[in-house]
Amino acid sequence: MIGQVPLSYYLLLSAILFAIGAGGVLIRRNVIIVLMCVEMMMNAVNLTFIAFSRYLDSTTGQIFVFMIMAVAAVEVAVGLALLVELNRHKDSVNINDFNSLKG
Amino acid sequence: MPGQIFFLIVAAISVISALGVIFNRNVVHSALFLLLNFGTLAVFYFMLNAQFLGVAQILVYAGAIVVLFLFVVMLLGADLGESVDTWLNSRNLLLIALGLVLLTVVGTAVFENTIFGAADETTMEVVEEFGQTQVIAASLFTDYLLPFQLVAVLLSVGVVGVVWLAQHQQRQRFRRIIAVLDSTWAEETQRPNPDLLRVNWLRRKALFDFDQVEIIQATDHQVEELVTMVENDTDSWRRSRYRQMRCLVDPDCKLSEDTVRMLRHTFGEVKNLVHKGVMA
Repeated sequence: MIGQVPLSYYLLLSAILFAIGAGGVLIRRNVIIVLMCVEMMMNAVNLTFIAFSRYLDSTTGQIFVFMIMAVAAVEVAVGLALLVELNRHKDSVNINDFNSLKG
Repeated sequence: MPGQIFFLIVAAISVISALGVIFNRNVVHSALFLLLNFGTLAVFYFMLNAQFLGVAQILVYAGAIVVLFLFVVMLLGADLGESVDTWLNSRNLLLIALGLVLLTVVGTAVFENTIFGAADETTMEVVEEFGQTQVIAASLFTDYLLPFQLVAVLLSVGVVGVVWLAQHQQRQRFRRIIAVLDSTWAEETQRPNPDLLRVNWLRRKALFDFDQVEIIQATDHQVEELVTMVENDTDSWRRSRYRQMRCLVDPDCKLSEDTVRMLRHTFGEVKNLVHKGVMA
């Protein structure tokens, strides 16, 4: 039952999820939502890795996903810590307010 | 066929929950939709014989990351949503169109790909041991030992960094920063007590987030420089604060009437410095 889903289904699904994530990063101005959308994009890529690893019979893709998960966990922790700090400073979570480095 | 139907149902839930993350005004609801999205992806991992990563997905993403998001939302206040009209404007519609273009490009790439045809034949055979935790572990601890250790280093650095950020923020919270204009003063900063930081503006000649201005010994020209810089500040948060800010001027510092008028115009309150206190 499980092996009968073609690879292209998974690739297309992860393309859709990636596009939704990218669209979310672009249209939402709330930093928390933007971080969530980045996570969603990363997960879409993970799905591609695992689908390929399954269909090419290689565990390398799964090792990659394992590393990506660790990096994603660090990224979220540091990102949210920075966000809390920024919120203290500017009293806002709108990404348009954090433009002091624009020059 | 039951496999495909099951896939399509879970895929539909996945896409709907992904859309729910974006098109939701309440940040808490967005985080819960994200949880659902991560859950469906774990289901796909199980379907693809990646049991270890399926469990890791639930533990790391659903267990740690979503909880972290919810924690931050609680910390900052849940009413952070934007109103619909701020994000459904013409610029964002253009960006949605760009997202659709991205989707089309990726989708075409998938369908044009030669792997599409070839992979369908390999779908039937399931290697007995494939994706089991032992296989992954064997690969992780032999071929990929160095990347594995580097990830461990990265995690440690991340922990230290986050702790440092949190401490730093606590130290800064009660601090008052005073911009001091004093040509007799050579140091860059002075810290008479832990909550107070005096910065020598004449040495720094730049804007920073000060809470008060003290003019001890400065020429008209130097004061004008400060006022010009403050007037041209583009930072909206700081701009809103200058009108409430207090500016203390030492009576011994002979400033012209024009300069004092300029200071009155820029800052909320201009007073004479009564005691030199910490400077003495």
